[in-house]
Order: sequence, then structure tokens, then C-alpha cells
Amino acid sequence: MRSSTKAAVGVISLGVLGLSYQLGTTATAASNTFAQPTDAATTAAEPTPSASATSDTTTTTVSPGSAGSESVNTAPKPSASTSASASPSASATKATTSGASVTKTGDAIESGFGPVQVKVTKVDGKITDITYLQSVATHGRAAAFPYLVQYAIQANGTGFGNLSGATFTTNAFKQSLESALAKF
Amino acid sequence: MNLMTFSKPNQRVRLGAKKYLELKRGQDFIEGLAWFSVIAVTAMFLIDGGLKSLTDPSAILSAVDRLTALVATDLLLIDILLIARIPWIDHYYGHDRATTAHKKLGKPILYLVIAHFISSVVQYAIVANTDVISEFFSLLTIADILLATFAFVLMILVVVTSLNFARKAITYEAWYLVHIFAYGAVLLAIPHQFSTGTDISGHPIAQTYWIALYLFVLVNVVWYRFALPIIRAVRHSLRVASVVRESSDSVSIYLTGKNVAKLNAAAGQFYLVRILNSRDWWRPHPFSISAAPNSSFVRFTIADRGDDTKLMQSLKPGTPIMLEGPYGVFTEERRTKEKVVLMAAGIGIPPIRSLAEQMAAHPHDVTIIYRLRNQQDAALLEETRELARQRGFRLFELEGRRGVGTSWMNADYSGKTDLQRLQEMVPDIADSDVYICGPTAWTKSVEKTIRGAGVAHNQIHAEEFAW
Repeated sequence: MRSSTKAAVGVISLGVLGLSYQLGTTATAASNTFAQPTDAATTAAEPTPSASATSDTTTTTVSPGSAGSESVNTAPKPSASTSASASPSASATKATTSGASVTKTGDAIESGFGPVQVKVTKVDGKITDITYLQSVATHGRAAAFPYLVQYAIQANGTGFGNLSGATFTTNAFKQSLESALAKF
Repeated sequence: MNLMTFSKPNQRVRLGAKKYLELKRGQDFIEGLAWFSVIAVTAMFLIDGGLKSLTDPSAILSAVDRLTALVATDLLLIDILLIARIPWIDHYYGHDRATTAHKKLGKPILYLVIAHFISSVVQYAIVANTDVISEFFSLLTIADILLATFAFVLMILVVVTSLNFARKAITYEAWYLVHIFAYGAVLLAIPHQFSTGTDISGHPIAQTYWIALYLFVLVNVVWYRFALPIIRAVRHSLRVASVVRESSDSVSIYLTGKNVAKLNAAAGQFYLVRILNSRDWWRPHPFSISAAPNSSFVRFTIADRGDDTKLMQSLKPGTPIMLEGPYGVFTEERRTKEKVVLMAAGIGIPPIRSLAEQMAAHPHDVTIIYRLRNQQDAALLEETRELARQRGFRLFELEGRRGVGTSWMNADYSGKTDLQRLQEMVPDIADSDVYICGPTAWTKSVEKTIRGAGVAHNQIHAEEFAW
């Protein structure tokens, strides 16, 4: 490049980068992490088998580190029994026959960006509702939580792909969901 | 057999500073485009808050990981465009510069990809609260990441085999094969960019940008690198007409076919030549045409330097040949001055010989300097002599062993420097265009001498017969 062109290009580049930096640091984090559910849905469709594979491997790595989950782990049982009365195993069979709604609470899982813990409601073996007991995710990953619920209900389980940019949050969500589903 | 009837030379040529300025503008424009594509991806990253709240090591690593990935991918796609021999890049940017830029970009891209690889694995390990090695292996269970890791290994292979020391150690054929892997590396890396790329999925503008860039590169590469050469091959269906011995170690290969006049080459250009048989079709070789383009044949003059150049010596008439090209800017198009010096060493003679045939010139405008070991080895010597005689050009044959020290001329024991001898041969060299074709080291030392003689940078045109 000739030196005059180089100078012009350099000045413009610095201007553009400076402006972009300004825009980026003043904008709110949540607005720019997950745009539309449709975009995420298309990407989520493909890597399903691989996603479940990771959640297996992360189970072994993450759970020892989640110190907080110990204390929270004891909480699920009472909360589960409140909705499903005395014996959980009996109520599960009851649920499938009677069409009553059963609610179970999953383990609290540390995603790395914060703890995730879900409460699952099933009617006739189908997931009808998922609520968060804990949903902390820094770095803008919190925007993933509503989509994760939507996908899990659609898939009636953890058989959906990872949410791009929130792989760890997705994995933590799936682990908590899985632990809850195991109790039905 | 020597070719003693020559094509009619060009009757006019555009010279002067304005042409050079146009070229410079075109080059600046294309370099500017490439530069701003890098700025664009960086700006999108920044607008997205890429450098926001870098409070912990994991966030910093994540930013490094994302930015290096974005810039590396952008540069990699540019690097592929540069070598795709796209006519508009060849014309406005120059095939020579494109090749140089392509070579220069290889290492920085690899460094960026290495930085991306390391920072992403370390960041994931921090977040997952585990060690780097086990995190790496758990990431490999994700199909897209596994593919990307293959891409990473291929990239290392491509760059390492292109380093100077490696190039000397391996054959052209091996290097070519490894370089095809580069396309594989790009393709294998795509899934993880779109499925796990924080800056692409869910960003409509970024998504549009990347899909457009990928499509643009894809269309250009598929059309110019694959489809067009095949269409041309069918249209011209060239075959070996004859193979003629030119010197103790070189032959001329004459190709004939349909519509040869429409091949549209210029003297000084080269083709990628493929021998179309089941064993050799996959690896093309660059050869300069050794006679000015005409309506009846295409000719290459090839010295036996082992491997496939050896194969070329014994081609059978009738063998189908596919040409990709013509490529290169070692042509009269780049000429800026009335006076021209054409310099060749050894088997660098073919493009020089064809330029001497085609260039628009008055007698005495052109001086040919041919550095040769001995007359038995010198290809196209008789032809060059005859051309010089018919067109009134001066021809200096620098025959014999090399001069002392760093001399690029023959030894003449006069005690004069190369510069002094050159200025005696071509007194007005400072006001001439100089076209140089020879081995890399020879070309470099010639360039040094002629710059000392006052030849400006834009008057020097060099073609190395190196790959």
C-alpha cells in the first residue's frame, strides 16, 4: 500500500474500532447474547448426539467442584414430597395412571458461570413445566434460560442440542434436569 | 528442429507513469478491502461487548479465544482467495503480489489459530474446573470440535511443509498434495464456527457477513479453480503434437487443439500443466510458454530437473493435456519504458524468449542477456539469436562458469564488477524496464545490481521458476 493510503486506512480503522469499543462497552450484556429463539433452534437441532455425550463427561468433572450443591441437595426431597405426598415411588406410578401432575427437583449444578437447579413437573409422563430454583449465569449466558426450558419441554427431556455460546449453562441445565427426571 | 519463423510482434504498447499509478490504485483498493474485512469482524466483536467486563482470567481468555478465531478465519479465507488465481485479483493486484501475500499470511494465520486453540481449551478447563488435558479430551467428544481439531492439525501440516527448509526437503508433488489439505482444513473447521461460535450464532449481521464471505470464496474458488479450467480443457482439447529436443537436458513440447488462438495468453505468462492420464492428472506443474501465443500451437520448453520434469521429457504425441491459466504478470502489460532489458539464466529462457518475440519495439530498444553454462545445455539459443537478428535486438551470451564472489555473470577475468559490465552492455539501463527470469538466488543478485544502476522498483519485473 502507498503511504498516503496506509495513513487514511489507519485513521479510518482506528475510528471504527474505537467507536465499536464504545458501543460494545455501553450496551447491555443481555441484549446481545441470544437474539432470536429461531436462530438458536436451527443450530440446536444438529449436534444432539454430541451434546448428550458432553453432559456425560462433565458430570464427572463438575459435580465434585460444586461445593454449594451439597447443602441445596438436601432441599429437593421435602419440596418433592410436598407435591407428591408420602412415598415418591408410589406417587410416580400413580401419576402415570391417574393423570395427576408430579413435581421433582433436580440437583444444583455448577456450570462455571453460576449454579443451575430446576424443578420439573410431569403430567402423564410428559414434562409440562420447568421452573428454576437457581439460575445464575454471568457473561450474558442468563439469556439462555428461557430457551432451555422451551427446548426441554419440546424434547420432553434432555434430547436437544446445546445452545450456542452457552454450552456450559446448557450442560448444567441438562444435568439438573436429568437428576430430576431420574426421581420420577 | 528450431522455430525460425516468428509471430508478428505487438504494434503498440502503453507506457508511462499513469499506467503504473492505475496499478497502484488497484492494489491499494484490494489491500484496503482485505484490511477492512479484518476491521469489520473486529468491530462486530467489539460492538458485541467482546472486551466488556474482562474481570477474570476466564473472561479474558474467552475474549482472546473469540477474537483470534474471527481474525484467523477472515485471513484464512482471504489467503485462499489470493491463491485461487482469480482473474480480477491477478489483473488488479498482480499474480506475483498475490502469491507473495499468500505466502506471508500463512504463518500469522497459524499463530492466531494456535492462540485460539490454546486459549479456548484453557478457558473451558477453567470454567469446568478441571485440568487442561482432560478438558481437551472431553471437548473432543463434541463432533464439531473433533472436526475442528483435525482442521487444526491439517493447518499445521500445510504451513510447516511450506516453510523454506521443508520445501527444500520435500518434492513439489508432496507439497502440492499437502496443500490440497488446506481446503479440507477450512471445511472441517466450519461446523464448530457456526454451532459453538459465540460471535456467529444468534447474530444476524455477523451470520450474514460470514455466510456471504464463505459463499464468495466458494464461488470464486469453484468457478475459477475448478469449473473454468475444465470447461476450457473441453473447449480446446489440447494434445501433445510433438516433443522436440532443445539441448542436452531440455525439450520443447508442442500442443495443438481446437481454437488455440482463443487461449488469450500473453508472452511471459505461464500455465499449470496437467498430463491427463490416470496416474498423473492430479498434480499440475507451472510452466511458462516459450513462444509467443499464436493460432496454431502452444509451446513449453522444459528442462529435466527430476520428478515430473523428467516425465515431461518423454511425453508421447497424442497425450491429452489440460492447461489452467494463463497466469502471471511477467508480461508487456507491466512495461513502463521504451527501452527493455530481458535477462534469463539457464532454463529461465522460455518467457524471455517469448517476450522478445511479442514485445512492441524498434530495433535497438531491446537488449537480451542470456546467462548460460555452455552452448550444449542452453535451450532456445539458436532461436533467441535468430530473433535478435531479425528484430535488431542486442544479445549478450554470458557463457561459462560463474564469476567470483556474488557475481551473477560469467567469469571474464577483467576485474570489473557486474555493475560496470552491465553498464557497458546497456548504457541506458537506468531508463529501461528489466525483465528477469532465473533461479531465485540469481534473480536476487541481478536485482541488487540493477538497483545499484538506478533502475526504479516499478521498472523491475521478475519471475522465479520456483514454486
